Amino acid sequence: MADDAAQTELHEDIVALLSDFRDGSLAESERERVKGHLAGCEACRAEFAELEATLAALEGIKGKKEGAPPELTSKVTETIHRRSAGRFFGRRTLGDRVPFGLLMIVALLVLGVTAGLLWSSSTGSLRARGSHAAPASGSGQVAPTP
Amino acid sequence: MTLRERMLLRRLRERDERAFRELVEEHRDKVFNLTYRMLGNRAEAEDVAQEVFISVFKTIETFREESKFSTWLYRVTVNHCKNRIKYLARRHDRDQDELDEAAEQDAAAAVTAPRPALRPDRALEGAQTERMLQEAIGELDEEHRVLVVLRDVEDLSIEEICEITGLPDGTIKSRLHRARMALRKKIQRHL
Repeated sequence: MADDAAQTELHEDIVALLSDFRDGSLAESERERVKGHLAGCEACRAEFAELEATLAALEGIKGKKEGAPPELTSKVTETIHRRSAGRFFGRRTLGDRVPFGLLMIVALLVLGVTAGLLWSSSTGSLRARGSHAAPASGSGQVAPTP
Repeated sequence: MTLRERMLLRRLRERDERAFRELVEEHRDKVFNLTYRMLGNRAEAEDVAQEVFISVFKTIETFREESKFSTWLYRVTVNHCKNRIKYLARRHDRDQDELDEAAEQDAAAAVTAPRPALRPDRALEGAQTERMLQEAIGELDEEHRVLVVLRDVEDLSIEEICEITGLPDGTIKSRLHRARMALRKKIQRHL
C-alpha cells in the first residue's frame, strides 16, 4: 500500500518534469533521473510520447505567421482620430498623404520647366548678359519729342 | 534599447502621427499573429489588434523602459486577449441560455446540427490540421492558452514569458506542462 503511494508520487514527480526535460531546461542530475525513470517506466514513456506528439503538431503553426491586414494602420489612426473627437491625427500635411520621393520628383520637374521657360522667353532673364542679342536700332524705341 | 527606439518613443509621447504609424507598421504582424493564435478568428483578432495599438497610444507614458518595448507590447496584447476571451465566453453563455430557452419552447429546436467529424486521414492535411489545432487551442482555458501560445507558437523563452505574465518561473513551467497535456487531450478528441 505504502509502496503504491510512493510509486504514484514518483510518477507524478517525473511527469511534472517532462516538459522541462523535453525543453532541455533541467539540471544535469534531474535530467539523468528522468532519463533513468523513463527507461524503466512504460506509463511515463507513453506520457512523454504524447507530449512529443503535441509539440510536433504545434511545430506546424509555429513558423506560420498570420500577417495583419494592410489597412490595419489606417483603421487604428482613424479610430484614434474619431474617439479623440478630432484632437489627434486630424490635420494631415501633404507629406503624410503623398510619398516624399514623389513630392521631390514633382518639385524638380516644376523647377526644370520654370527654368526652361525663363531661358527661352523673349527677355531671356536666365541667359548670360553677353549672349543677349542687341536690340535693333529704332525697333520699338521711340525718340522723345521736344 | 537602441537610439532609434528611444527617438521613436520620444516622438510617440509627443503624439506624433508619423511615429505612431511607424510603430504600428513595425509591430502589426507580430501583434496580429498573437491575437489570431489566442482567439482563432481573424475578425476578432483584427479588432483586438486595433484595440492594442489604441491602448499603446493612450498609455505610452506608462512604459518605463525597464523592459524591452516588445515585451511591454506583448503584455498589453495578452491582457487584451484575455479580456476578449472572457467577453466571448460570457456572450457564448448568454447565447447558450437563449438557445436552451428556445429549445424548451420548441422540441425541434433542440436538434442541433451534428458537427462534421474530422477524419484522421484528412486531418493530417495542412490547412485542416491547422484549423483543428487552432480549435484545440481555443478550447484551452485562458491561462493555459496564453502559455501554450507564447511558448510553443510564438517561441518565447520562459524568462520572456515571466516578464509578460508577471508569473514566477516555477509556476510557468508547471502550468505550461499541464497546458500541454490538456491540449493533447483536446487534439485527441478532435481526431
